Amino acid sequence: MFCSQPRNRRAFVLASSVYVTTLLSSVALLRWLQPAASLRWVLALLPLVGIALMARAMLDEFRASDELEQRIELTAVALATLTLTMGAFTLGLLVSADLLHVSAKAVLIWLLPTYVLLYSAARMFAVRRYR
Amino acid sequence: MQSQLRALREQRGWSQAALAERVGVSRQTINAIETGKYDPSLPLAFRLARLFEQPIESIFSPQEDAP
Repeated sequence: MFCSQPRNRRAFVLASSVYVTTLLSSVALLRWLQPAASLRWVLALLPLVGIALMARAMLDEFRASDELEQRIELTAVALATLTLTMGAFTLGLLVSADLLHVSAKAVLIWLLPTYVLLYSAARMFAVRRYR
Repeated sequence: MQSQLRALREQRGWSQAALAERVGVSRQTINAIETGKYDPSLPLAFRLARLFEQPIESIFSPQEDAP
């Protein structure tokens, strides 16, 4: 989402900073400290704080946008979701048939960044349609 | 949908941004309505009609080939 409201833009930048900081800290601490299971849970899920803040900033921006902007966002979300789920399903079929060997860990980690990329591309497509 | 929005706006000497501000939408929305790329919602169409003191059907009309 591309925040047009300065307040939401600030919130999004702050949330992104929190996400990057918690992600890097989480990876580093898990690797170096080798903590007990309970602390591993906390450290592993730490980046969710940043993700939750980013989601909130995006929802605030969505609520503040007008009807055409909301249509563009919904079109982008629908296209990105459809592409990602179809891609994941296709990958699943190929893996099930032993035609591809993909690490589940890599797939799960790359799910969100891939979705963000697909959403950005779909949004550009939707914006061009109404320009 | 065909609209008389551009003509009505220009009659009053308003920019797209000025009209957008008056009805609470973005300039891009006004531009998309004027170029026929976006059909406004009923609440927005009513706001525009009230602003220009015209019935909705005199501002917006279906295209000839529409069902």
